[in-house]
Amino acid sequence: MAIDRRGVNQLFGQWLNGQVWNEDRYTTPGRVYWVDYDTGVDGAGYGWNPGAPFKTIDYAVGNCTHDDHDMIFVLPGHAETITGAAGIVLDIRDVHVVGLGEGSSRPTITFNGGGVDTAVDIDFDADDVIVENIRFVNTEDGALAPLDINAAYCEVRNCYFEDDGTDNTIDWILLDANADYFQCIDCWNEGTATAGNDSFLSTPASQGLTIKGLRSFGDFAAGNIEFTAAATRWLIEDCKLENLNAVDVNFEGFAATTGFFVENSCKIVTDGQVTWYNTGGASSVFRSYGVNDDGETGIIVAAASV
Amino acid sequence: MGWDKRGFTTTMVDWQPGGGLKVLDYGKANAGRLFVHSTDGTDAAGYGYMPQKPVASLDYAISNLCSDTDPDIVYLMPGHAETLATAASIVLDVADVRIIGIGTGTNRPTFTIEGVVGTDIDFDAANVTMENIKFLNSTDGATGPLDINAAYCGVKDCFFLDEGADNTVDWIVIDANGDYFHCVDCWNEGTATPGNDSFITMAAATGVTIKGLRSFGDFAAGNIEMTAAALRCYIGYCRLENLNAIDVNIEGFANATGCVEWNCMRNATDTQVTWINTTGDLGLFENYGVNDDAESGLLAGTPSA
Repeated sequence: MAIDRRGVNQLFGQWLNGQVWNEDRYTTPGRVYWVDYDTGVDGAGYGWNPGAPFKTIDYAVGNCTHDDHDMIFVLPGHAETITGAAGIVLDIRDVHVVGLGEGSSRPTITFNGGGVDTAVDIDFDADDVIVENIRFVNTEDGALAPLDINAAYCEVRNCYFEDDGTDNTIDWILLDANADYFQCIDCWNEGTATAGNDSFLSTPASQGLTIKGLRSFGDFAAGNIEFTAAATRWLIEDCKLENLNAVDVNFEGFAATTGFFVENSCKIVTDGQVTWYNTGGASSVFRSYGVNDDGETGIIVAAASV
Repeated sequence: MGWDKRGFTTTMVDWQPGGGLKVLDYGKANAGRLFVHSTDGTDAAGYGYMPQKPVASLDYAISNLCSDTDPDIVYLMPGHAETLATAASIVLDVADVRIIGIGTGTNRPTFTIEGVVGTDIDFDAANVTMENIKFLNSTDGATGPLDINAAYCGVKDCFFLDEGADNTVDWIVIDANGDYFHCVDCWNEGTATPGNDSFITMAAATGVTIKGLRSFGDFAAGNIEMTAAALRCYIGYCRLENLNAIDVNIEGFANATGCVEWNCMRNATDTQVTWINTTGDLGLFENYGVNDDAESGLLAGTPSA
């Protein structure tokens, strides 16, 4: 791998109001770039420090190098609107995009196709890309798949996904068959109470999918998590899933799919229905509970082994 | 311990084009901080002390740049790749060395086992740990790629992959000197073909910890195996799947002691409840097993009365 001395360090220090300010984030021998939409410029000489950042994430990615484990720090309050397909293309391997900030100050990416382009999205086209601590907001009703995962070992971590008003997202995260070992860790999906979602995350026959700590609410015609083919050796653990749709499914599996469904809490809308975990294929369930009426306590999902 | 001025500080400083000052932090250690990369590195004097001039191999770094009891940190840089073909290809014989891989997914530092079945990395000194590394086996029948012969060693956040139909008999072999070995947050992707014995096997070691392991394969003994009475072990929060008709995920041993808790296990044969076998003197807490498709876990073990 190439070494760029300008980005060799992970601690960044500068004088600010009479003090040295250090940002201690992650270890990398690669480059460290900074992005802020308001103060940044997508041009030469920018991006190397938070005082002169790039303007857009896509431009920063374009300055990264395959396999160098480059970091892109997105500054608090950064707000970027994606208006069409491939609005951001994450096509450099082993790039780590990290949002700085808390709550509403977290960097926000808004999907808005102008009421005509539901294909508005971010493409994960290279392996090993991680996106962390970003708030994704959809204002395009019927947006098909804002996060389009087309490569292996990618990850979204600690991100927040929000449908604005009654604008529904069909599938927030859509994996294709190349998306092996994708990880969705500690994310939160706030859908709406109106019909129009299909799932939060949909996968075909991927391998080694991990979904841990997901909190998901919405009206999903398929289920909060949906398999459209026999994914293998997945792990879905510690998720809190609520589906308002009368399909009454939180997890829609597929024949012959294999994996572990561990310690999940599920809520569906129709009293008497017990289909929280549906079409389990060849997977296994552990200590997962389902509720189907208000104020009730969960019962074990799926028949017990004997 | 000795003080190595080349690695005394935890920081390196570099001015940025925009005028900012960047300060490198490569971890806290009172000794060397060393860098390894297979294609950009050179195994020679003067290399290894900065990422711009790394050495080429881990074994060279250990043998030539590390010192016993100095808490050296060896960074394997993104994309580092070494192929190992013989027994003792790498000998970790300097105590107190921490080896850390940098990189994500396919770009994580990778060691490929491709040679005689006895090809291995020997943990021969105490207190040696490896983190964030991918181990790939392409030698069918490899007997024990990670050979743990010393105390307080460990692997953390590592990925173990059997390639195609090439099976590893036992990925990690802990002998009776491997006390207090720890395997934390590792992931073992075996194959659906027979040929594994276990992922991790231990002799009569004391204080072994296996936590957060995710393991899949066809294991003739079990994902985790004891070959003697290990003492005061801890096995917890593991997700274990065994396709072998032996139907065992954890194979204990008579008089083994320790705590086995919060594990989720899947075996191959409907109605078999032998997920944890030969429990010896182990205490079992909230372990669950499944033995058929789409079923929910049953409490493994007999409750106290």
